[in-house]
Amino acid sequence: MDVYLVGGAVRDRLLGRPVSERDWVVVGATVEQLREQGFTQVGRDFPVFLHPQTHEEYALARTERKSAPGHRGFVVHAGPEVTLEDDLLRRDLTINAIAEAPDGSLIDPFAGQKDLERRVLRHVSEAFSEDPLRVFRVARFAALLPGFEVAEETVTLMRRMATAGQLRELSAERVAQEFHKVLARRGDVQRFLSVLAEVDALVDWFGEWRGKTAPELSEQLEEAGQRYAALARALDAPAIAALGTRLKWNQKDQQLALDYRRWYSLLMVWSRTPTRAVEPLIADLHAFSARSRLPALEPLLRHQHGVDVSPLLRALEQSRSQVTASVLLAEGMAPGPALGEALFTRRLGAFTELRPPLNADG
Amino acid sequence: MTTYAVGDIQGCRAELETLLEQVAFGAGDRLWLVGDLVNRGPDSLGTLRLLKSLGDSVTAVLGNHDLHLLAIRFGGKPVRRGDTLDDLLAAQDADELLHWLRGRPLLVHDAKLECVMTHAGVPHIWSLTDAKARAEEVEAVLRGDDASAFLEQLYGGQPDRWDDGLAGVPRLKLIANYFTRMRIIAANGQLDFQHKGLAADAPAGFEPWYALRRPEPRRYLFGHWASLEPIVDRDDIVALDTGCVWGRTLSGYALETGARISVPAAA
Repeated sequence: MDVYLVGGAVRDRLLGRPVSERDWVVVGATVEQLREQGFTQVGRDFPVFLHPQTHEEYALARTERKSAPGHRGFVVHAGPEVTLEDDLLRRDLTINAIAEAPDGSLIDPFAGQKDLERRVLRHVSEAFSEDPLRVFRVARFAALLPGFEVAEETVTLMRRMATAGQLRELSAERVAQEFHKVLARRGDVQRFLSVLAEVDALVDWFGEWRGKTAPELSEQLEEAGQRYAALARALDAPAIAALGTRLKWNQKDQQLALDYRRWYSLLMVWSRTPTRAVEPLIADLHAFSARSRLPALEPLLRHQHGVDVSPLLRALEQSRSQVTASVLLAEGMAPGPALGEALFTRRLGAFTELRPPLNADG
Repeated sequence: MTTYAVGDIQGCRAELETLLEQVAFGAGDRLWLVGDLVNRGPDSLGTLRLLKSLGDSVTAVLGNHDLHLLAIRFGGKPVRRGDTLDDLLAAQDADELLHWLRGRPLLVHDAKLECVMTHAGVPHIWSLTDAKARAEEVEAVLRGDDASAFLEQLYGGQPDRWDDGLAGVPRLKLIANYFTRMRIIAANGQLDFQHKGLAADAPAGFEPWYALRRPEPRRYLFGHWASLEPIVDRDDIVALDTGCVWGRTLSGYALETGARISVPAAA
């Protein structure tokens, strides 16, 4: 039995990029042999195992044939007679279809190294079209590997898949995961979108982005959710809502995106805006509450616009602790909506006193 | 019919609803709650409304956060930093909900299920009969006209050691502290409120209350101690606070079968 390093680890090493995880392919072995050596099977549909010590993924060399729509619609064949070349043939791109033997030599039947040099994303075979998710994977690679272009024949194939309606078979979770990886790894979102636009693949999942340009994202934005929200500036609120629902994006990031879209322009000028104009923002974000949604916007304002809202946050927090429900109850007020209104009004008054003076020439 | 005991909710209404859906909570089922129904979490108001709407199927004991809320309303005590009670206090039905809350007990004993439920625990220095009687002393005051006089002085760790001769507010306060704030205790019944961490790190002379308590009846259900790790693995000591409000999980426990269920905190 022979074991080869495959996929992203080989590609990233050849590109001189950091290798995050390593996948291995095992040739000439059976499921039983791997189990006997202490590997645990993790794939329900595929013969994929975890190494007993390193917990890296080891997969038996396999062939796949499309049998039905959807990403589970494959007939998988694995066995000791499946060759390394058979296994590499089913992979998506030539740059991902290079294997490395234990002695360091490379097995590269589809000239992946040449495509790495030329910085080309090229499909391995027509079998590429059997998994529509690959359209989004290619867009992700384009966004994460600077300088890479999609080969002309791959563009044609991707466009054919998109116009045939194949992308609609995908689940929201799988599509969203590709987009999330681009955001989390600080990829070039505009590149992701423009590759999809080029192959007419925006319509099914990212229709709101047709004809739109992604704003530049600060390198300082650390979380995927912040980057997602920063992008939302280019869309209107109904579009953000529709996109989030379709991709089943998480509620927290979705709320952040909507809040940012609605309030970033006011927050940019908060220090020279009178309190009565800031009041709707305070009410909407529950900014006097312990679960105010304003602090989450602070890094976006700082990194995307160079605006410091921390004095605003401090003044709000001070107003909140200065005027509490206990103060009003002690004055004889009963619990109820009137108490809620009085809390807001009194805190707003305190805030006006506590906030830094209006900066007229700001 | 199943009786589900659930850990500290602290305003995590969404997770409670998920848990009830997951166990297909229905007519005839009962919901037991170890207290700290409110505060720190996002939706204390929704939590109390939901529990009140479930009527007789809910049995809840009071926790320290519930007493804190009652002390704000009826004892003139100040709201604290980190409290998330404004929405509840500003609700149309605030006073109905608060009166419902003040009518909850400190201790519940079910002879058939051989089980006692309190928020923090039951000190070993009291027999079960003593413990029930002392819980009732505080419950009667909370429901009566003298509630304010008691709640005004609710806070503070003194006295910290039981004496049968204690009377008045200090007596009530210490009883409430045993049932709602105790974590570790000395053999002589003295409490220590500074220690909130792992059971193993208790200062010399102190042990987790359940280490000293003789199982009488068969089972004790409690919450309060989110940092209790590893969670007690004993059939007679059922710890249910798994820190939902701190982003961990909301725990449930079926009294008839001993089955556990866990719902992750919403993002």
